[in-house]
Amino acid sequence: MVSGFFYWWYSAGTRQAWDVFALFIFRVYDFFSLDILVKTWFAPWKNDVLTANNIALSDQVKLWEANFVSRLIGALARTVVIFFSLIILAVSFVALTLLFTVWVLMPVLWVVLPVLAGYIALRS
Amino acid sequence: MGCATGFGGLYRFTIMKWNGLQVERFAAWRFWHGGVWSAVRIVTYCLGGLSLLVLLAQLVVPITLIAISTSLIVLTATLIVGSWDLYCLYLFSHQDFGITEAMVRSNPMNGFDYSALEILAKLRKSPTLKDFMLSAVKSRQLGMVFYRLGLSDETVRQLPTGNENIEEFISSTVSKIGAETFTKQKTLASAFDLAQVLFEVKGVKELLTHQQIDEKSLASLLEFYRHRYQQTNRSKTARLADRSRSGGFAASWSIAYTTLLDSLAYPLHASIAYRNDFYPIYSREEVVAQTILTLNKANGHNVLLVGEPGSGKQEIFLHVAGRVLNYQTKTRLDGQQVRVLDDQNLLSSSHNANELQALFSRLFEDIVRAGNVILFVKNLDLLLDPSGGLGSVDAANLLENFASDKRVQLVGTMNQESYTQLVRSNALLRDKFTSIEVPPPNADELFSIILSQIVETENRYQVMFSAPALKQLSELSQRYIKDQASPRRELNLAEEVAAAVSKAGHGYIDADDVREVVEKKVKVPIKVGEAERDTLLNLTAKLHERVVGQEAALKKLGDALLRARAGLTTGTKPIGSFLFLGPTGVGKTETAKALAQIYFGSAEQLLRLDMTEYADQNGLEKLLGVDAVKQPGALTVAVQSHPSAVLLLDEIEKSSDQVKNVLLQLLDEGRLTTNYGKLLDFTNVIVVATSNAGSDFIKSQIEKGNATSAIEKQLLDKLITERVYLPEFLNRFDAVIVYTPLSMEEMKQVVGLQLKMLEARLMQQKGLHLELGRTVVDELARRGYDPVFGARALQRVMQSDLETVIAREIIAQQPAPGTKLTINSL
Repeated sequence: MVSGFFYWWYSAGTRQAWDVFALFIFRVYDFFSLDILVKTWFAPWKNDVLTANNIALSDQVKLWEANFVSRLIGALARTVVIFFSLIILAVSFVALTLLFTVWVLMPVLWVVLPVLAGYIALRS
Repeated sequence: MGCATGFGGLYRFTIMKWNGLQVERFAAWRFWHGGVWSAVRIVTYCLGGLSLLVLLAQLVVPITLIAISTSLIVLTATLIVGSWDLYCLYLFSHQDFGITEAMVRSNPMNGFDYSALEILAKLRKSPTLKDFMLSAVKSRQLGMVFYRLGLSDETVRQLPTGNENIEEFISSTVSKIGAETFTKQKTLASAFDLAQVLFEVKGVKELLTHQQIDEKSLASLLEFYRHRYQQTNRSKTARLADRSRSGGFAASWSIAYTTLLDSLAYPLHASIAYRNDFYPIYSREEVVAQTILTLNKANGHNVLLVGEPGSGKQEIFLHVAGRVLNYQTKTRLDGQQVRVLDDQNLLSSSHNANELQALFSRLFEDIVRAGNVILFVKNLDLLLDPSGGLGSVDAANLLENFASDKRVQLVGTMNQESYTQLVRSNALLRDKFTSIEVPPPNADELFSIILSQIVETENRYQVMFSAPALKQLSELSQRYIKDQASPRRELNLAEEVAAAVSKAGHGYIDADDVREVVEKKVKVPIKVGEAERDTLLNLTAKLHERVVGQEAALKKLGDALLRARAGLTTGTKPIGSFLFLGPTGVGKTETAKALAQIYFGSAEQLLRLDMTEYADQNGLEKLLGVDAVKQPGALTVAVQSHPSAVLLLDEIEKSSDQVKNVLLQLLDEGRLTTNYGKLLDFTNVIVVATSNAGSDFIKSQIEKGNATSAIEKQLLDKLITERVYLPEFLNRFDAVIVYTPLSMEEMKQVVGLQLKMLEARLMQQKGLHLELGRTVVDELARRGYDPVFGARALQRVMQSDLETVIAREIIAQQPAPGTKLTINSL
């Protein structure tokens, strides 16, 4: 069983850990959906577009203004979210890389930590 | 006894002389589940958490080095325990990890999963068959299987047989299963594979036959629970692999406001796929695929799922929705919204037809604006029907306008009749929708479908259906309940049975419980009980109690019905079909009435149609109908309200040729389809057609003294020659029965029967006895007999001549109850 544990840790276990971490990054990415945000950066907010036919010029101008505001709101909201999503993604990526490293080095830690503990105890 | 150890020799676990990596893992898994390791785990994690806090705290406040050192050691222990936990968890859901064919070949125990090892582990040295069965009955995976088979641990313990030693059997046959399953199917053998082996053992096989379990039901039962076991185990890891996108912020910000759609149509969520895993669609996978394909089409991309009520159209849609919401269709449909229209909410949200129309239009405008909605409308015919639903609103027109827009994706359901009337007849609607037929599930998978759906009913009524009861449910509902489709028909019947049994106070439903409920529901005796056995064996005599004379005729009828009830009928034709030929007033109709009373238990189970009404060119329409609501047809209404009855077709020779042709199909196949697509089932009907054709011939032959059997052949030849009936029409009947004119003696017997009924009525209503002089009976017979009309005039004579005299006596004498009324002359 013990040898089986180590075999698992560095084969299927590491694969599964990688899958979990990658899935987490994927979920964060999906939550913000950067690609869709960028694609729809300047699209009207909530697809809210006013249309009308055969109206006076002054009304046409008002219509254009309203649609412009809709796009502006959309662009502002998306810009803020894009900014924060990039930060969160970067932090997530760094944290998960560290965690993955810990995973790979875990069996080493089981030796290093008690040795360190002994060293610290001796020093005291 | 052998023993397996694991995890550094900290524990021991003893099972019967087996070993191997898988056994070792199973032992470790048992230990991992046990109280000792759970306590270790809890303590370690708690201490680990504390030590982490201590280590983090030293960033803020000074902590002694000893404390840090101790914390590091405790943290290490926590990391080791945690890692081991992850390993055990992985092994539980990937039990074949690291197991190779070579390992299984050298030690078959390596080919079993934990569910199988759990059963084997409980066997002591020199196990008996009973031990094996008990171990299987008590296992988590097989317990439910055995319970449905009517085998609890108590019943197994009380079995008189099963005490033979099966050590050799376990070592050879059972062990082989592990190796064979892994080699052939690349999976570990489970408890279900052990069960399959167990059920092959002679003693167990006999036991199951005694419990009325056949091989097919057993296989379906095992397969169902095996699938459940696999799905339950799979779900934990399946979620991990799920990488479907939701679109998050961005997707929701690019979808238009759809406030009306949000209020009138609720969304389905991706989690529906987990529910679908437990309700597989079996052979109707094709319908799901076809629906997805159609939704992707450029034209006619709206779908109409057409099938009988209860055939599972909604279930099909839920599977489509599950795939769409989980990005499994690999088409543009992936990730779209799936909504279900709340039609009650729609109808109650408006006060008049105009408001409703406006609401309907705005709903579709929302859908168009959203651009990514698949809308499910259950019973779309209710909205399209001009007489109901949207009332005077022309919903069909509204749909036509919107349905051609590619951004509108509708999936509706309706039955065949409504489709024929509302859609197929409307060219514009027909173009916008593609109809997909939803067939009912086939017999093999019906058992599994019922099993998967019945748990809800069992929980509600706190009952459990045995496997024979489920099998009986399926068989009897198919045979006797014709107004619904499978599987809804079986599930509705199950609900009725569960309610009845729950009311009666016991919780385990067997086949007899199902049979009793069906008998009460359809008013047809199903199993031949004591009383019915007597009736059937003496059917002819019982008919004679109501019908005078006609010895040959009644014997022929009785014999034919006996064959039917003995189970020798095919089940694809009416129970029996008979043509009664003879003069009027000789007992043909009386025979049919008697048959309804004797066979179906009530004179109300007689459906009478006067075929002279169907003599003209509109006869067929009057008989089978034109539409389901306004003109459903006399025969349609009759057989739908009484699917088990005697169908009496009086004076059949007078019906039109069109009607006779249709009746050919009824007699041949036991089924008819109306003009509007309704399927009528006559397999639980006895068809009796009466005809006066050839009456003169019969009379003349009787006067010449010829026997009835001789008359019959000549009569049929005559009727065919004169083209009264076609040969193929006559051949469709199980028996053509000739009724002869009544003699004066027989007439007196008829009078006797009528008098008995009159006496019973007099006693019931007035409490009076009736005594008639000897000559009265003869006089009544003489007055009531007519060579042309037979005994038909008798009833009139009884009323006018005898009952009037009786009434005069009652009024004049005012007799007290218990008095004898004597009538000496008329």
